[in-house]
Amino acid sequence: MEEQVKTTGINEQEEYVINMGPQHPSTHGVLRLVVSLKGEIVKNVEPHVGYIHRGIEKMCESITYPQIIHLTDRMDYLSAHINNEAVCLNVEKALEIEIPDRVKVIRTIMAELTRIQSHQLFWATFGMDLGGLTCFFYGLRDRERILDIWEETCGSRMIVSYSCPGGLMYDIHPNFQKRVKDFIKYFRKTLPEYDQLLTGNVIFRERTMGIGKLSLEDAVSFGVTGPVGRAAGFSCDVRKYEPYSAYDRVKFNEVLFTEGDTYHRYLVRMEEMRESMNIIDQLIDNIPEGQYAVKMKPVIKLPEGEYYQRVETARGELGVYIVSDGNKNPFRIKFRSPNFVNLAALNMMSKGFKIADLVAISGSLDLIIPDIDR
Amino acid sequence: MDTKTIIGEFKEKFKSAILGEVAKNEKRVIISIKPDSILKVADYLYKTDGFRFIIASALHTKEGFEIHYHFSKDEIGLILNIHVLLDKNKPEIESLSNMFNASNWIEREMHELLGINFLNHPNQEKLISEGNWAEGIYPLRKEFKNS
Repeated sequence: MEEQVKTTGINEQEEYVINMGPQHPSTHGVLRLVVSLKGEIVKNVEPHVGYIHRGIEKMCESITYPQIIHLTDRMDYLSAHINNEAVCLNVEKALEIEIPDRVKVIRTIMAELTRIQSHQLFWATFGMDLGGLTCFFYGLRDRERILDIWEETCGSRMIVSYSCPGGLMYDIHPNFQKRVKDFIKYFRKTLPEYDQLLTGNVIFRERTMGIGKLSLEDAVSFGVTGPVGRAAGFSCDVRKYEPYSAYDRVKFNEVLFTEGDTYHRYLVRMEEMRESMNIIDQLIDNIPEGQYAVKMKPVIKLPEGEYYQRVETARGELGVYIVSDGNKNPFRIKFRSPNFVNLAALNMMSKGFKIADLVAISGSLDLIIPDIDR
Repeated sequence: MDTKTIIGEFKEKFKSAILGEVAKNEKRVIISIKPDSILKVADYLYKTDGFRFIIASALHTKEGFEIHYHFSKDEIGLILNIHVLLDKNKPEIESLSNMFNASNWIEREMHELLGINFLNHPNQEKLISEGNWAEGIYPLRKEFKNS
């Protein structure tokens, strides 16, 4: 009799393995987590990635730089504009081209709009993961307004491909400034609703506070960046210590906490939305007149050498590393994608917590799977 | 601390291991070193000098395999590139994963896509293809052509 109990695992003596994914609503894509459990307690999480690996780095070796822009959209599709910007900045730096001020300011505004809509979607899905379905409707309702602004200016709603080496694809739409200002006015009023709905909610706090802690040492050791790193007190905002585009002419605060738990990863994103709105406020009325792009040679060839450019996407530090041999294609291109690095820390963060917390922890990493798989 | 002192001290300490240096500007310095000294160099940068490991990229060149390690000193925005050149036929190097966790996954990826062997890696299993890819075919090598 005793033997039978042991084999069925009722007495929680055995460790057993649960397969979460590849199709699981809380992974937001095709990510598979092999979870070892003892009772309800997580002992080990092994992420399996690569289900949608497209070999973007290899593909880039046979296409030209303006074509690469369109592939970078497909990595972290919620930070599409910032990904474009990273490649453009790198190419411009390599060619030593001076970009008009107008382009810099518009790129910065676009990047901050990208950050807001990405965090809105995070908020929407994070609430949904934890059982608050209303968040999903609120978040997507507001995100739609940004997508509408983009549609008018970029001709596309999510995969924008708006930056190109040398500037922008087209000039901004005449309505752009007014619509962005309207949106900021609207969102300033709506953002407190987000807090009322989720941030102050008792159940939400119970499920996130103190869960999935990441210490500062571990954050540096794992190299996590973005809101995940900043919640742990790791000052890693590229916009601050290596300003690009127009970030050197705006004032904003780097949001830093020291707790490093799920709740504070969420709070960083909420505060960042406010900071992004402040940045847009400072720039939207001061878009300088001028060209929206400089004239580039029809075939862009980078001088022989290597170039690294990093930018701050909504999820952390995106690094674009180009090694050129002087041809129109890169010899090797490497994307240091923030999600790839952040996901590696999931195992360490979720050990010792319950399996229901695993959903909250992986949700707070705000994973975009195509960015991991590239 | 500025770039000059940091790089000066570094060069003084690893005089015998350094093969070449390119200082592009204040924020980008490239130093090539001998592959067998990578553990000591990384240890000094990470533990003593307060650098952070960003990423490593491997590439397949005519001379062999190169790994470019990126280290960042965030306070001054300096990125230090450490280059190593590995043997064409038997690419092998010490793993840095026992020092910091950030290199664990990227080394697994390099092992899988370029066939570089990392010695003393805690878990050098396939990360991306997981049994769906033929053994001994490495997609990021130059002989593997895009169709």
